[in-house]
Amino acid sequence: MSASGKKKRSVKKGRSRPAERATPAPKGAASPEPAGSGAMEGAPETSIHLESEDRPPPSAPWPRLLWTLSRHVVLCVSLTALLALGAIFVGVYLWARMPEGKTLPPEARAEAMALLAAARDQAEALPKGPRHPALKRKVRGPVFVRLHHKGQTPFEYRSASPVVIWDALVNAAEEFRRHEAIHFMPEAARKESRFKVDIALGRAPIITKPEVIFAISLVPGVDGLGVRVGKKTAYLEPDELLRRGLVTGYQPFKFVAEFKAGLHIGDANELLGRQLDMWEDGRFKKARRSYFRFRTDGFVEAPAREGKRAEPLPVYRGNTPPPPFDRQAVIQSCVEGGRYALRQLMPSEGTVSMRFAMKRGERIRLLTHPLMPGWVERAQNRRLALGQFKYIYYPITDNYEAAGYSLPRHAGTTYALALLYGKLKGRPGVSDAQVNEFKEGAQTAIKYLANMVEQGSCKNQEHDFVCVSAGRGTDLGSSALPLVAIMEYERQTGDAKYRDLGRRLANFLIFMQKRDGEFCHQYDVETRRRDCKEKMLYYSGEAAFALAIAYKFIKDTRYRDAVRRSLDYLTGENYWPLPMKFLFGEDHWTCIAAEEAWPHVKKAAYAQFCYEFARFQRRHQFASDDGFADYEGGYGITPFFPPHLTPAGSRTEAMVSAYDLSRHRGEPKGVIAAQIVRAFKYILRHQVRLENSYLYARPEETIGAIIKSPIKHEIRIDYVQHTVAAMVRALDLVPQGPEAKVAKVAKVAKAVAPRR
Amino acid sequence: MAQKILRTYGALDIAMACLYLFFFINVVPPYSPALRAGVAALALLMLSAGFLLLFLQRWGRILGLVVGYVLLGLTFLLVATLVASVAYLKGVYGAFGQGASYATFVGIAIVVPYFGLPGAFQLHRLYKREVREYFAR
Repeated sequence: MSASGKKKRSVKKGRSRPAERATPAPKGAASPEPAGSGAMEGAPETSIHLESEDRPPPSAPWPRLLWTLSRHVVLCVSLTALLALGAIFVGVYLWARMPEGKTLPPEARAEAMALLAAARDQAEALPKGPRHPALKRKVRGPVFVRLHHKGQTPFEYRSASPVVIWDALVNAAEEFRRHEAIHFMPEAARKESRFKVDIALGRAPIITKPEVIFAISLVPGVDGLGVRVGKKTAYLEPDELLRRGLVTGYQPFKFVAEFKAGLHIGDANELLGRQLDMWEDGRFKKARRSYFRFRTDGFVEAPAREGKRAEPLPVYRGNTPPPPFDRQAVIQSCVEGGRYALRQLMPSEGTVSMRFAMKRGERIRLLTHPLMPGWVERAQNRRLALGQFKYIYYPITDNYEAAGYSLPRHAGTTYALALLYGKLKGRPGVSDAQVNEFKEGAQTAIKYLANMVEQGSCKNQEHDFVCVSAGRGTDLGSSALPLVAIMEYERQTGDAKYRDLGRRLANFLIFMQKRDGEFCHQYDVETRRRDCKEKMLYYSGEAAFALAIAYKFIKDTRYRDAVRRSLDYLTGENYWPLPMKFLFGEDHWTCIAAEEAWPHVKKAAYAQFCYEFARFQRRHQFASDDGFADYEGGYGITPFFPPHLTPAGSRTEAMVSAYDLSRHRGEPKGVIAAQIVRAFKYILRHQVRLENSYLYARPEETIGAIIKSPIKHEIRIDYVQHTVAAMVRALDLVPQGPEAKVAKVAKVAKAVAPRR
Repeated sequence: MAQKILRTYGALDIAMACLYLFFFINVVPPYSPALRAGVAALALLMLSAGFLLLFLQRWGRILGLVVGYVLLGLTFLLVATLVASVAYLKGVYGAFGQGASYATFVGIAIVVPYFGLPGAFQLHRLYKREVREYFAR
């Protein structure tokens, strides 16, 4: 840097030092600035800096660095700020992170469980002393032991903290033997019951203000919540938070009651306060509380099968390890899913009991989780027609939601049953009797739709159409998906009994289509008018799919032309606004329709749309290296909201179609095939099995069900519909044999042809 | 030249004060009284500095410098809060998630140009020799 440059900088630095302005320049100062130089105007204030500049820099490295830094104020301040930010990051991270705990090896778990099982099943003395050294370990604790049976916990134990694991287990076993309720437990119930052990290994502090941060301060289903008040501590284990629905109870926006995520702070506080006997008198709210989260090493007793139990199963987020993933496992998963759907189907007219939770001054709630203290239960019977599904099931309380029945979802589930019949026929491990049950189920469910048409008043002679309606108004989806179900049933069974009904439903869809290819989404049955104002999710794609499948059987060219116009609209005009160039809507039905329409309606643009849609979805799919092993394959955007199972099904249905479309076009997309298989793994991991249903009231009745998300134990018929329909359509993409890897999928993808 | 700088930054302070007021009254009204008071105080300070600078008053420069430092400090505080939140959530969840990381960057990208840069530019210009000399006369 030139001398003048240096001086120029030193002028700036000297400006805020008036006291030093008069200091004369020493002898031997740097060569003076030429007369008239702008940089030397106001020379007195620069003198001190000239002096310091002339002083040779220190030779030692650290003083030299400081000397240099002192000449760059902005740089120094910026560096200090960055260092401070880094220190804040590291400090807060270390403060908040959960210390790693050492989990028990399988042999130690087995020994621990044998001790508890002996207390329950045998009269003789308990085994003495642990054989496995890991059980002699002292842990932060406490150790929790619960006996689960049909959604209840007749026995609960919590040890002191810290504690030696074996001592805690022995205490639990002895207390169990003394427990009154256990003496009256029938033999069958003892055999069905399952012990669960949670050993708290570590804890970490949490922030409680602002409330929204408190709500997301627990890893849902993995962390427990504790609070310390004075010398007393109360705990809610991860399972208890799950069972009571507390990890999905926070409502961040008061005006959006449907959106809930994170800890239900009010109910959690009430339960903790009651544990400490400080709730009723209000002392808990006034007390100084110190909250923390804790993580446990959890394992559950295996379910009894023919009187025998396997080794204890490790539990993570309320789930046990899935069966080995291969094609046969996916086939079995489809069968179980279908059987669950059949169990929800009404074989005749009947009633279903809905139970509600009530409390004075509070809004009545459906009983979806165990009653909170002070609430009472009331039941109400709902009438269901022949062929109707029990709409939503809450497995923890064994309760149903029958109100708000959705006809599109009914029809979608019927479609899935028809697919199960056709696609599983002749598959290894699937009996003819089983697939015939699916066929009969589909028939019964179609009968319900046919009866709705028969009894409804949505009939139009002029346009030769009928629609499915449950009152004065109806919507497009309520007729589009029934048409899909009817046509898929015909395709898979060859039974054309409902073709005429299908034809008239297709005519209704034609009537509802606008000139630009879009559909009107609502129809007033009484005034016979279309309502094109309100647009609803999914319906346009469903209608396009329905017409595409109808054309294959009915061969009315109006349907083919309508599909073309619809797909042109859905993949073109629908996406003209600039923001939509970066996003995709709920277009899974669009891709299913595009594939179904092939080869009668084919455009490269449809395939391109679906490939891009797949790419967009892939960006939201959790990968194995994201740090959330049990989320791998699910679709989500942050770990705060565990990925739901339904999108894993519905988006995968679209991915299957996108992949099939690529095969039709001779450009098979292996990357989509791998995406599909990852989603299958996610679905299989979370499907209800006897092993992972220890929190449920009727585990056997729930097998095969698909829950809403890993932490939301709610089962609506369409959760099963989408997942099963996706899996059964792409069975051949799943490699055969144990430990099938996604990497193998690309090879398999090249080898298989899509099956109809 | 100095007059131009002073008037420009006076006008900018008034405009930014109005922008902050609009944003915090209409777009994201704070529900904490303390935060409301803080926003009001900042806006008042900026308006005062703005008008005094506009009319080339000596106190305008001093208040303008205070505004610059306050904005820089506020930027640091907001970015530090964001960093602390990210660190906390990373501590809780282990991996933080790409989406949440992007959201944090968006947060920082909003804070820096709306608070940090105006403050930094204002300090830079008000410390210019022409400005100091203008008031030294």
